[in-house]
Order: sequence, then structure tokens, then C-alpha cells
Amino acid sequence: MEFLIRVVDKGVAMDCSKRGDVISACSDGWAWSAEELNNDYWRIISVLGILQSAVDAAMSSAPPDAVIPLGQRKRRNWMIDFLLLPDPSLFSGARTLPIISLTKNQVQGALVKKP
Amino acid sequence: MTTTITKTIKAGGDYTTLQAWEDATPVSLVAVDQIWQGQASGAFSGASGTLLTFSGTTVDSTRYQELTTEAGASFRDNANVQTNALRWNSANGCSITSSGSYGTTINASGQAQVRFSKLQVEATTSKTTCFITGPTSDIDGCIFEAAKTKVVEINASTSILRNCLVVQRRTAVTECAKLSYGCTVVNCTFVTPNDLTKPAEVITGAGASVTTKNCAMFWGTALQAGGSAPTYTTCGNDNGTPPSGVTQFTYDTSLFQNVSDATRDYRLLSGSGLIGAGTVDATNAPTDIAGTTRGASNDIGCWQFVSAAAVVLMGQACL
Repeated sequence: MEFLIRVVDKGVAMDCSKRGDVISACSDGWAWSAEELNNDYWRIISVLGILQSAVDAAMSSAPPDAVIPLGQRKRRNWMIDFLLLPDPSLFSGARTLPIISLTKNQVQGALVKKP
Repeated sequence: MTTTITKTIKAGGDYTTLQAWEDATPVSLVAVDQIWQGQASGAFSGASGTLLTFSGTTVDSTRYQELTTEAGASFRDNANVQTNALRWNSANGCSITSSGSYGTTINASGQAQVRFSKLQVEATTSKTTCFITGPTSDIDGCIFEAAKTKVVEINASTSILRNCLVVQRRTAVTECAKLSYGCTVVNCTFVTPNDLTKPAEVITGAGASVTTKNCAMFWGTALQAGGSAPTYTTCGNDNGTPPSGVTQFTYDTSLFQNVSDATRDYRLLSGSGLIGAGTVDATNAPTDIAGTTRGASNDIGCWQFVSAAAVVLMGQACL
């Protein structure tokens, strides 16, 4: 699968998307747009054979009917900790690769539940 | 002066996923004085529950996020909109489907001022709801179908659902829709096909009384439960001894084209008791779900009946 990921906090509010949040999960070979390939706030990673349970975790958020005040709901329950990946520098500053290839073990190992 | 920033969402568009469009919204639309409009086209689907979450954007009543369809891409833009069965069908126009085992196809519960129109939204599993709103949202001219405990959830006094079709396709559930905390619902059709076991209620609620006008609400053991009793104005339902503002009709093919699950079609047909039985509301329902002008006579439900002769004339006008 391929994942669009945020690498810069969108804002300070808790319900803004944050660094490490998965934005979208798409099938292999997805035809990303120029904006999606070039926005410095995002990265695209390609991962072969990732477990569906890991995808579900990366995409999960609090249930809509959970009693959480407006503005306090985290966008995602899990995040990718880039420091746990082989080359964290790929996830800061300007983009150097349109798509970053990682193994499923690298991504599953860097997927951490937020406090 | 507020600027509308229009972005296409489709293969080859500005964005290829709904969530990428949302995530690209400036963190404060008030600060940049913009309306952030997404125009979707094609079919969007996913297996991870929620396909689109709205949250974290600073908005107000004139600067907000709006998701609609590209020109010509909606089911209502289809050349055969008057003759197509009124139901979720991705072949008719832009559609959004979740087959996930949890979540909500579109979750706007954490964001105010969302505008949403002309789309078809579906949830195919028993654990996913189609759409949940936050405050001050406006959902107009959409089709929602799900096989979940509830199909849609409208949750705030300042939100409105209008000219929409809401179909519950799961058997023996609690409700078709949850309408709560004083929201407003105008010219919507809430139904379960009549070959499925009735939900306990057509609508459930919580908190303040919901304002319900010109709504067709069929096939529940009861019309409503929970919260304060809604205010009904010229609505239709099939239960005996309806409350004030609700007229009893028999839920069958004397009202709609077809009410069986596999062949459902919620267009009105000639002679339907729902025709002309509503109250004119030029503010919230000037046109129906298909884009037909309602004029001086308002039908009950999302569909405004057009005579066969008028359909022919409309077809010629399109040529």
C-alpha cells in the first residue's frame, strides 16, 4: 500500500492533524497528484505487504460518539514515529524523493499509539 | 473580500483523496478569508472505516469547508436523473463508500460549518455510519445508504439536513437516523425497504426538540423515540395515530416507485399522496434532490414529482 503522511503539525489545536499522522491509505501504484507529491508538509511512503490491522490502526480515530469536547478529539490514535525509521531525515524539510519505499516491518515497528 | 478556493478531487485532479483535500485546508480559513471548496468526481472507496474526517480548522459562517461535486459529476447532473431509480448507485454519479469494519464514512462531528451537497455516501458493513455532523453544518441534496444501527446522525441545533434521501438497509435495527439537539430537517426521505424487518424507530433523538418539515418517514415500529418530541410540519408516516403535523400513508408502491430492498426507487409516482402535501419552504427547499425547482407546490420528501410530459420536455431541453 501507499500512505500519504503529514510531517509537520498542521496547528497547535489537538484536533489538527499532526506530524506522523497518516492522511490517506491507497493501493499500490496510486496515481498521486502533483500537489500530493510535492507538498513539503507531506510524504508518501510505499510499503509492500503491510498488515491490514496496521492500516486500520494508522487510520483509526476516536469513535464519533465518544464523549470528547469539540476541539479535543485527536485526528489519529496512532502515529508513525519517524525517529524509528532508518533515515529520519527523509521526513523533515524539503522533499527529496517523490515516494519513499519502506518494508512492512520498518513501518509496523514505527507505528506507535499516541498517549 | 472572501475568496472561494476551488480544488478538484479525482484521479488527475488537485487531490486524489478526500482526506488530502481536507488536510490541505488552511488551519484558519478566517485568517486567510477563504471558503475551501472541494469538487469531487468519480468513485471513492476504502476499507478502513472513516474515509474523511473534518477537524481542526478555524471557521465562521462565511469562511468554511464545502465538499460538493465537480460540474456534471453528481447523480443529479446525470442526463437520466428523472428516470434513474432514486437510490445509491455509483453509476449515476460521484459516490463515496466505506466497507470498513468500524467508524463513519464521513465524520464531521469535530468540525463546525461544514457544507456538503450533491454526493452519494454509502456504508456497506454493519459497523459503519454514513455521516455524522458537527454544529452549524448544512447537508443538502445527498443520498445516504447504510446497513448500520443508524445511517446518519445530525447533532446540533444549528445544523440542517435538507432534500436528502436516507435509506436504512440493515434489518431489525434501532433506527434509520439520529436527529438530536434541536437540528432542523426539511424535505428529507427516511426509509427502510418494506421487505426488511422494521427498525424500532424511524428517527431517534436526544436533547432539544428537532424541527421536522415536509419529511417522509417510513417503516419503523414507531415513528420516533428519545429526546424531546419533534415538531412536525406536513410530514408523512405509516404508523397509526400519528402525532400532530404528521399524516398517515400506506407505505407501498402507491407512494414510491419501488420500496423493496433489491429494486428500491424512492421517486414519487403519479397519484402519490405525498405530492403537493408539503409546505412551501423557498429558503431551505427551493429545489429537490434532483435539482427540480419545487415552485408553488411542495411535495413531502426529497423528491419533487414531475409529470411524464414535463420529463420529456426536460430531456429535449438537455439535447
